[in-house]
Amino acid sequence: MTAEPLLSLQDLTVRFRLPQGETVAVDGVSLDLAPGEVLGIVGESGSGKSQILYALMGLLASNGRAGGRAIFQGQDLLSLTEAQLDRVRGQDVSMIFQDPMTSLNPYTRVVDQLAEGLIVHKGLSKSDARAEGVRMLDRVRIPDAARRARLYPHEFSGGMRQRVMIAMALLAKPKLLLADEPTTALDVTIQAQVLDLMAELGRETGTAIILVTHDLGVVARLCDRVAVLYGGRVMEEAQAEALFDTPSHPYTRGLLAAMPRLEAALTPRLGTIPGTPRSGGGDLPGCPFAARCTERLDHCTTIRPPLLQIAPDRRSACHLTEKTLGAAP
Amino acid sequence: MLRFIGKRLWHGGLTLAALVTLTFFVMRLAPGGPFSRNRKISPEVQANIEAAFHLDEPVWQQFGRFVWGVLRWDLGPSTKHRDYSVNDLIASGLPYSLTIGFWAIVIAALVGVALGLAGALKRNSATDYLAGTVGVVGIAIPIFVIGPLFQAYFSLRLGWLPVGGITEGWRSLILPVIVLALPNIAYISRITRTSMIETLRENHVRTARAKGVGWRRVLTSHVLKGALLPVIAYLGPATAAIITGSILIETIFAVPGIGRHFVDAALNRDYPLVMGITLLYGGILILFNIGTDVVRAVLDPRIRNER
Repeated sequence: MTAEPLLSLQDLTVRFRLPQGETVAVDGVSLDLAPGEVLGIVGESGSGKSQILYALMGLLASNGRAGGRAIFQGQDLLSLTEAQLDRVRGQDVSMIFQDPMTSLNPYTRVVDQLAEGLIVHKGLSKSDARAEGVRMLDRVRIPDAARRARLYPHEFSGGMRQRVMIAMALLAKPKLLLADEPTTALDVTIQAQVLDLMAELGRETGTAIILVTHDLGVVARLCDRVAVLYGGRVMEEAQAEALFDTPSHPYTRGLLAAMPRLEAALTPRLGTIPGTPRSGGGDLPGCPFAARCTERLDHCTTIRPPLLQIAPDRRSACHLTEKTLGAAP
Repeated sequence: MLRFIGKRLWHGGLTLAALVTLTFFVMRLAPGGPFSRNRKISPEVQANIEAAFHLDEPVWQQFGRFVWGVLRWDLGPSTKHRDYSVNDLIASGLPYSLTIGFWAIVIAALVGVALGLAGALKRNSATDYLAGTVGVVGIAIPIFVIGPLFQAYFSLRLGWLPVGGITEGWRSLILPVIVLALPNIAYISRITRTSMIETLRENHVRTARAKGVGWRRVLTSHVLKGALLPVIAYLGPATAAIITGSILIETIFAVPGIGRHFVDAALNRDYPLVMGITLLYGGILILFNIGTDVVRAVLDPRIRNER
């Protein structure tokens, strides 16, 4: 990664204060994102992947605190006030949420929800902003956009609502789009359409995308690069193809074994990772995956494996790879 | 929308008709009548009086007479308040009940919503605790305790306001209005606070924040509408109940409204008055419910599409 990154996460942490003590959702994540790049963040439920996006948008729950730095175009998003953040949100950085059924305002016509951002941020007149909104709906392939724009969200199907969300997010031509499991709530047949649309429009506007998902198929389809998250830490980070071809981390291997493949012979069972996913909890000295890892070494539970560069464009946090590499370069 | 209102009015009319019919016959099913008191009257006199009020006719005929009267806007003579028709009684009492009830509900809505919003936006702040305290006090302490306490303090001790009656114009209204508003302030502020906190957690509010349109705009155009819907749903029936008078308020503050007739009429077996009050309260309640539905349909497109 030689070019100046668009977004640079440096030791990002997210902690939540709970009645039973503090819990760590994101534990020192460092990632860079180049302009126009599509980065996938994969992990099981509770791995902290969505919280990274919420932290960037200043949308953490009220008991959540973000630490570390998130440098976007020279400013640290985490240190901005709410008012300063509002100059970034919806303009340079947009977000698409997981549940399109509830993420649109049920009391407002779709076109007015689209127009709102343009009116507030760009000072457009109401009619200009609406026209722009309709044009965008057309681009996300909502048939009969001019008429549909005047409907309310409950009159749209789930897939159409998510396309409205995409239209809304891309309307301001943001430099960065954060997508939090955008297709999880949709029918499988609609998922691919929505994803392709998002990627296509992203390419057209030169928007970089961080796509958070637990669906490796989605990652394989869209992402340039992938970071695998577990227990709030990056386990492995690689170019998408490299990750799928030669997974280096035991957790990545477990995830890939659990993924159904068309070309593989039909085995009676998919692979599973023993144990239950770690979610939250306090600080851990060792590797968060150690408790479930089949290739655990003695010091895995006591010493945290550093995220090491194991090849160009490739990092892994595992004592095993550390061993095979010998002394770190 | 007009069709929606028309349909609701038609249903409301049917409901009212059913309510009135039921009340009419249930009243007469119970043993006794308006003139069967323990006083000794000769059977001839008793029969004469009953004939004067058509109580000697078969029940069906009496019902027909009542319905015919309603259609002519005439509810008949009161059997208890001699020389007064039910129309007179309602016309003389309703303005007082309406005035007190109207101001009470206006104050309750404004103060209640304000307290609820303040509490929800600044949770666990001083305002929130104040609103919570008002809520508990307003709901837990009944009107017949607060009323006399206020009279004792503001009227007798400080001498600011009249103890009761209606002789001092608007000054006479202040205490009854406040006492009647208090429990409603409590309910409304609690409904507002809960609903506001729920709405703030909704996904579409998060979307609005992600759009970066500013907190104030998020509140006014994305939160308030949804948060106030439950308040409006409460206000409709509550208003109907409050403006038709409260027997407690009218007794404590010696207001000649119609609230006292609710209980008196039933106890005295004053059939025409009971029917008049039932018709009035039922009609107002149904109208306000329809009004509430219309307002909610205007605010919420999902309700609009349901019907």
